[in-house]
Amino acid sequence: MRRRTFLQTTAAAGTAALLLPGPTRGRTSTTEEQGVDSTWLEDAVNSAIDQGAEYAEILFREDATETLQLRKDRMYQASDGFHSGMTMRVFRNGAWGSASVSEWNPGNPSALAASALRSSRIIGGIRRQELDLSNRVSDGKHEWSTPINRDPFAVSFEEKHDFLLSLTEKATKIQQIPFAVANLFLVRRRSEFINSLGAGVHQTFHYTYPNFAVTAFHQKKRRMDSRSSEREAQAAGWEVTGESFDSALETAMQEVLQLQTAEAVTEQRYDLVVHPTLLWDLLFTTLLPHLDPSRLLGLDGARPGDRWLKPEDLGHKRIGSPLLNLRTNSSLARGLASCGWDDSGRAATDVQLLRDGIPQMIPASDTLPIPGTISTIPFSRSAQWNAPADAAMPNIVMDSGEQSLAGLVSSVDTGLLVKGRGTVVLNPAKTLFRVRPQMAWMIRGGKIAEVVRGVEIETSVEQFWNALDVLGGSNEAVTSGDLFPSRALPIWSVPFSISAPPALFRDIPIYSAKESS
Amino acid sequence: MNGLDRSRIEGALAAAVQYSSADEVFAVLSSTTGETTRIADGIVASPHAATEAGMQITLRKGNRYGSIHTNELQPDGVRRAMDIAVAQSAIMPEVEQIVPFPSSIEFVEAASTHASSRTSLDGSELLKRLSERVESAAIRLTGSLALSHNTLSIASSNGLFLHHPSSFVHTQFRLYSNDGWSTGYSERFDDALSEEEVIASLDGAVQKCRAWRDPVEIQPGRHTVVLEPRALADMLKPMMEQFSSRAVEEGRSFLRKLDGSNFVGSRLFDEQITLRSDPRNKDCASLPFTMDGTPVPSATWVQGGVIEQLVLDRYESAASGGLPVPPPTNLIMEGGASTMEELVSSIDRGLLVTGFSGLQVIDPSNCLLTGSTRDGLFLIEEGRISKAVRNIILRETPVYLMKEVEALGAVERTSTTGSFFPMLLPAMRVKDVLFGGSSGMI
Repeated sequence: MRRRTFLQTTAAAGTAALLLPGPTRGRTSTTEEQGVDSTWLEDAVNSAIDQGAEYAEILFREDATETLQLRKDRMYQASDGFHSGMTMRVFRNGAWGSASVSEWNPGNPSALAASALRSSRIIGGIRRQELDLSNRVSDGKHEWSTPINRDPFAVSFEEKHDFLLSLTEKATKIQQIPFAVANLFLVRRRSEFINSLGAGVHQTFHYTYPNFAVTAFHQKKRRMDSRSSEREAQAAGWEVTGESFDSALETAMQEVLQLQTAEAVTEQRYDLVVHPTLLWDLLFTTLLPHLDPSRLLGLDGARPGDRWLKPEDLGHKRIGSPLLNLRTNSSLARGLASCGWDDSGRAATDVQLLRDGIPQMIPASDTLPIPGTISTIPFSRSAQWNAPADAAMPNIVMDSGEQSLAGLVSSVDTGLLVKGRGTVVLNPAKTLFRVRPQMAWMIRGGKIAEVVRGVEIETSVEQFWNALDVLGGSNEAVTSGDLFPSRALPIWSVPFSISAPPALFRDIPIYSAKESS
Repeated sequence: MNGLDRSRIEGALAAAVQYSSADEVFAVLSSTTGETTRIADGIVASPHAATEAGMQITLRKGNRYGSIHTNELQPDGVRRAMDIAVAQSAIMPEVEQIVPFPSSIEFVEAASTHASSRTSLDGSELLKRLSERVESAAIRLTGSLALSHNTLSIASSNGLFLHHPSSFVHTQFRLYSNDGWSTGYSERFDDALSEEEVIASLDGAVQKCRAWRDPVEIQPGRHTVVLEPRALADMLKPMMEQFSSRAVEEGRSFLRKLDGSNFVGSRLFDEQITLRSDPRNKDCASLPFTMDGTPVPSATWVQGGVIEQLVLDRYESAASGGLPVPPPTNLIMEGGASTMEELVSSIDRGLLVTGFSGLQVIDPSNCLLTGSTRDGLFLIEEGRISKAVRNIILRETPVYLMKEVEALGAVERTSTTGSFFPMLLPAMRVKDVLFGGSSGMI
């Protein structure tokens, strides 16, 4: 079907405006060809249909990134980036094909369409599949934006510098804290999606991630300890920098000083109250990788032979406590994967990922050959402008319970309260893990006691998640996500967030890490 | 698809270096036009074609520097990026030493053997043939086939212009047995797609994958080994990064003496060891200039075991008043006369190492490496390959290999695993290489 010319009617002006606002885009073509604008994108889609595609879509992306790092009182790194371009996907004769061009060097729209079709021809000679366009946006013009109060890219470098300096200056005024670092990571992504079903979707995403780390040094004990901020990246604007960073810094400074004089933990099994600032990362790094479709289907060439979950386990194999319920949420407030439509133009559909500790489905893309018996999450995103949309993980919300954090602590006789994301080390099969939380307190008789140092949780993924005994309440849940996921799995290449409550795990083996100095 | 034409590259670079609000500008523009086809377990994924270009711009305003990366290379896009870099430079600290960006007006275009004129790569036939081949061997195939045309161009506001086009076909396949417990690996960077060579390389990996059955465990300790060229490449790359005056100064090199001086002029390695680099070598062509705009001449790093020279970057050379010595962009080692059979045949008990995974430097002061063997580790007994061995952890420095080498084979073209750093290396036999226990790696 040839794309209907919706852009030539009422939506035309709007879409053109989205693609051509003066100061930020300034799209004056310098090529011999026509510059990239809404007409160019529509021409590419129409050309693909004219050349024989049964379906075509194009995603234009413009990404802006900024990284600032201040070490003590000195700006150490400042780097910005702008990247834009488009990826076209086509379907013809039972096969998908794709091609990308940068905005600077777009060539002719028909050439991009031809290139995508040629790649579909190559694959079509090898295998074929059905075209499934269910749930795709199919008409009209649509918009979605991350709700923000202030665009971080409109904030001056001086203001950003002063914000970072306010953190490091305050920390290093304390004699025992000789070093502090403050970072700011900003991402703005604008996208324009057009498909041959007559639809156009414009979306703008903002991700803001300010953070800090303070390092204390104990001269006498020759100890060096660090503590970093617990708030992870948010889909939000500059306003997050005004949200209790001062008190978070105060807490981190007090905690790192307490850590300096703390005694080492005694190695034994403990009941663990896990703070949400650690729990989300344990879900992210230890459990969710097993739901990567390539790994689960045995298509991960880097790790053959050692998958924990197999396709037949979906819906059957219990991998955690019956309390473990995970549901996707594409509109999670401040969630890094929150969107109106995915990068294939599908409206977000929320599903139950894990029910009663049993995985129900896996993320999937149009092109991944998944047996019909497997339930899939219809959610695709592109990692960058020059990559076709691929299976991605939506935001995830972990079911909550009724207890407050204090309530969880009160139900522990001898245990530990652990919080703050630490480095997680996994075996190659990702079935065993070790993590050192940033902070740990002894719990005695249902009360939080002294800080202990060197706490290392080391257990199997299966044992850990089966030890989940009580869930904390949703009012203490925290939404966190990794802005730069690099866990070597395709579905983690696009950020998403996890909302997790505090939780109590029973009888977990704890080891004492060696002193670091 | 063809690579970007030079006039467009020059236009984009000119827009950057002619920017008037900075005192100096240095710009690196890289572009790639290519097509990649992936295969996993016999399932070929849709090929993806991409044309992309990006420019890294560094500018100086007064005593401060700013930098930005952009792929919006139309003149107003470049100007917008540079305005931001200027604003950004205002919050950067002032530097004490200003080393001007390179100024020589020079055109460097290597007589690259990477001159594929193919504009597209229909790998479906080859992938079909490869799939059929592994299926008949009851082995599964995963990997990719990619053709790319690349350019790297550098300009400065002081008159520098360097340009290097290249093209290559990259094939990378990992094979694994149906039960997933045995693997093989094949990787090639070729000037043009040669189906027969790719198939021959794959056949070697199939052979290894099939032979690596029922592996035995060996105790941690020292073993005489024969390292295949790719395994040697993975160990030599981190060692060559320590041939650096700055690394020596900062204590990150095995070439630092206890008194802080270096080992240049000293015989540190076995006499058989000679290491050179030459970006214009027709069997091993590589980038003829560095990313900071310094042309790379041919160079000798080790001659007959004697350390000949160290890399000296532009800042150090400016401080010392000397000329910079750029790092090598390829590596050529002199080989020996032994065949692979001869290297193996004189070993009573030892190991044949095909490759490594995840090698890391854990002690820069002696270039101590750790990582796992992978894709074929075999026991050698009484001069013959006898059994497969479970993968083990390497705990050794390449410096030791260079000192204790027993024999060398003929050189062949290779590269480090998963990345393009062309080398001409032989297989090598070395005694008493230190390994730890089983790595658990499949």
